[in-house]
Amino acid sequence: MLDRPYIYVYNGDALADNATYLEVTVPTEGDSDFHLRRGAGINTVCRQFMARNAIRYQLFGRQINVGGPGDYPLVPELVYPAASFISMDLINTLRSNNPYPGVPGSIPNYWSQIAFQGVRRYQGGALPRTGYPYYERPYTLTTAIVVAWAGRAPAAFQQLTVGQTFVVPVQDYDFELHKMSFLIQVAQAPVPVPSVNKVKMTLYDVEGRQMMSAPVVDELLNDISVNYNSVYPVPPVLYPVGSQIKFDIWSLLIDTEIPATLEINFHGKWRLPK
Amino acid sequence: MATFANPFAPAAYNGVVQRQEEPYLDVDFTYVYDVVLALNQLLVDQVVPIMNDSDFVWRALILSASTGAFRIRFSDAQGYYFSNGYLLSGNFLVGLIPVPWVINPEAQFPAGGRIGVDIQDLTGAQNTIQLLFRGVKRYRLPA
Repeated sequence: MLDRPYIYVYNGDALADNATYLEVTVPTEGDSDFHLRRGAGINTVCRQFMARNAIRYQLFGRQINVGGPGDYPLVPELVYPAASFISMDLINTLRSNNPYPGVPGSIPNYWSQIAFQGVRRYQGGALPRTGYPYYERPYTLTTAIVVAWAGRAPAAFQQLTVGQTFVVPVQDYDFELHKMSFLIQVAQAPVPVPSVNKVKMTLYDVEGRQMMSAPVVDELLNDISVNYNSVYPVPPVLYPVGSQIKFDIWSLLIDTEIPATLEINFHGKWRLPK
Repeated sequence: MATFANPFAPAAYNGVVQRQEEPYLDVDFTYVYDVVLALNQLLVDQVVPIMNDSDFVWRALILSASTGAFRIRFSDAQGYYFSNGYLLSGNFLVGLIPVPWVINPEAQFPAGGRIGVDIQDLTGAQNTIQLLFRGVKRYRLPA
């Protein structure tokens, strides 16, 4: 068996506010079972919530308010078979967003989503392996990128902009990625601060596979988030020497926040040759 | 299995699985307790009934919502109280943020049993409260 970290994303951006949606589903892929270990971000979508396991059994005695912690760890993990679906009820919806206060007629940047974090379990296949004897040292690959575009296109700020792709080369040794942190300094801000609902990210593994079904809001990935207990990827992933960490960044910034400098830190360890 | 753990992640994120040798099946579950207290109202012997299909293993309490401070104590069906007095709701917060309040060792409630709750408002106004009893449903498997 082979586990690959994965996040199934439910995007609530297209929902209506103050509505109820029953039996909303997130389908799982047909090539692997999904082992759900964490649900996060429910409070950005609705005020009350219900979820079900793979045989549609309710996970809560009744619908819960979402004013508690933003993270729901699943113990033991829940298994959703290949080609099944995660089912939930979204009650009294309220989409989280970044509005454009100075632009009449604009549409806010929504960051209303639920991240179902876990692993996809494959019956075959192999993970990349380090081809030399090694010892490990902690290391962080850091990169700074300029996010010069808002979440919607000027001047009306109604049409969504698209993400941009970036890479960080892994040049010296094999690198094992354990977690990520995001800091951002928006226009006019004096210092960088932890990035809170300013960007979304899609991360790829060394074989070019997306590690999430859709771009994920920074807070749900950010190790230094104050609202969530975010750690990703779990389990860690290996980027061999000569490869690159590829990711897409989607902006949630508004017009007055650009350009912004986004610092992404990929924390992990080198595998140094013995 | 071709995988390795992430030491930075909580155990749950690395995957906690059911031990195969156990004669039961655990499924993540949450019992929800909703109450609206009038000003300074004290309610005793409130009951969170445990469903008949399985035992419940209580592992954490989460203050999901409240409109102010209250105090509370818990008991099981045998009259065992989990504290010698009422606990202030601030115990379930870090600052203003609700965090899981861990029950260790875990407490098992039989199928058809109950979690007992005594609770009192401290705000002097109406207080709408929701508590989450996090844990697992423990299904007994045929021998």
